[in-house]
Amino acid sequence: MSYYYAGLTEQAVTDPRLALFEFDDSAEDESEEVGPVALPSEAEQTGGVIASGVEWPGAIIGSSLVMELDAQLRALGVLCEFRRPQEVASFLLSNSGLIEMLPLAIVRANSHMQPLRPLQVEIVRDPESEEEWLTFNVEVAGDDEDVLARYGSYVSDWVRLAQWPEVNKIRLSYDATD
Amino acid sequence: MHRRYKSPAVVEVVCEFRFVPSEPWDLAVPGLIYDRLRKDLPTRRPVRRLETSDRRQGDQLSHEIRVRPVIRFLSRDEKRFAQVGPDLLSVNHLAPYPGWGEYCPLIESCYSAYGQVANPKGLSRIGLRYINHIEFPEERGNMKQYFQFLPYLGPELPKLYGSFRVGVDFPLGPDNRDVLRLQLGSSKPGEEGRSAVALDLDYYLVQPEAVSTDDALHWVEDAHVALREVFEASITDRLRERLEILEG
Repeated sequence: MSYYYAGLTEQAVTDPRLALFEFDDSAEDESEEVGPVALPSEAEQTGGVIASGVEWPGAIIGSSLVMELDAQLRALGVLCEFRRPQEVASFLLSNSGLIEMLPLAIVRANSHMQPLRPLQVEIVRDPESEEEWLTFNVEVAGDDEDVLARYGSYVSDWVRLAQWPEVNKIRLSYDATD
Repeated sequence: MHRRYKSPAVVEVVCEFRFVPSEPWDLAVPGLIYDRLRKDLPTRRPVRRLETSDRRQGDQLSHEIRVRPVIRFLSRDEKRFAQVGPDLLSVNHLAPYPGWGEYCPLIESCYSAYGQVANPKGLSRIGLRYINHIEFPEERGNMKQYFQFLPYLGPELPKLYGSFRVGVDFPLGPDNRDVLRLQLGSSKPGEEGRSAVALDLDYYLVQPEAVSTDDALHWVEDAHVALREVFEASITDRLRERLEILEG
């Protein structure tokens, strides 16, 4: 399930998962329209929080976790690719401690592993235990020793940064080519 | 008419209180609030929220970015939580939404706990917000079948469109002290071959301190009634069928 607005970005428009909508202009309502009236901007009045990642001027994140996650996933879209993003969003909402950790993990994975292509993020589920976690799939170039050293340095960094249980809910899998 | 649904579309409901800054924030406050809420919201998690805002002072428009530290108190399943920070309290419920009968007491207990500990002097903002995600089985959704609030396209414009967003602010309450912001936008469906929209209803106080701390929960009840009415007025019977009305 997806919780967030599809943006009017090039990426969103070309996303094959986005549906089209059809305008039905039959039987238009002729009822009287009233307005608009001048209203103060919420942001001006209260210092409301604007969704920096949402390309909808004035969209307010406020205290909504769904909107916060939406903004973050959009921002992270330049660093990685989300496979089945709705699944990722649902997982993160159920494990909200990961939301703050995810950007740190992605930046570190990119920095240590130097993937050939944007790393892919997906949910993996153990069918026996039904445990779920986020996996980063990365393709890297290099000999075994070099790649293993990079992986080791990523793991050391991640373990130092994250706490239990978050540390075990983000894992990295690599595919190395010479 | 008050309807309840078997398959509500709510993915998150948020009740937010922003208090008038008064004394310096006492770092002991979150712990004391937690003592009052721990039975229901036992998991404590500090988070840093990055916030940006625009503020106008005279002719000057400034853009501010700041990190706001908040502490979340979550239920074991993490579907219900309160967020407490300097002059801030929010009470959130993720899907599945159990209905106002269960959510309202959670707001009351959190607000009461915050009030007893922090003794706020006034309210700069109150908001009650319902974010809905609605999926349709067809790839090419005809919004008019489901919504009374949708983009209007004049006769010269193409009738097929992709991403869209529409929104309107309704001034409500005495002296237009409140706004109900209604927004509808395309969303990503969970499966290919389907279409989805987000329907976002946010009722909030725009006149700081127009509601006293004692009246805040009455305001929330009134906001809920207004949101329910506008939600029902925004959708068609066909969508009600999809959401499955509960009898009684």
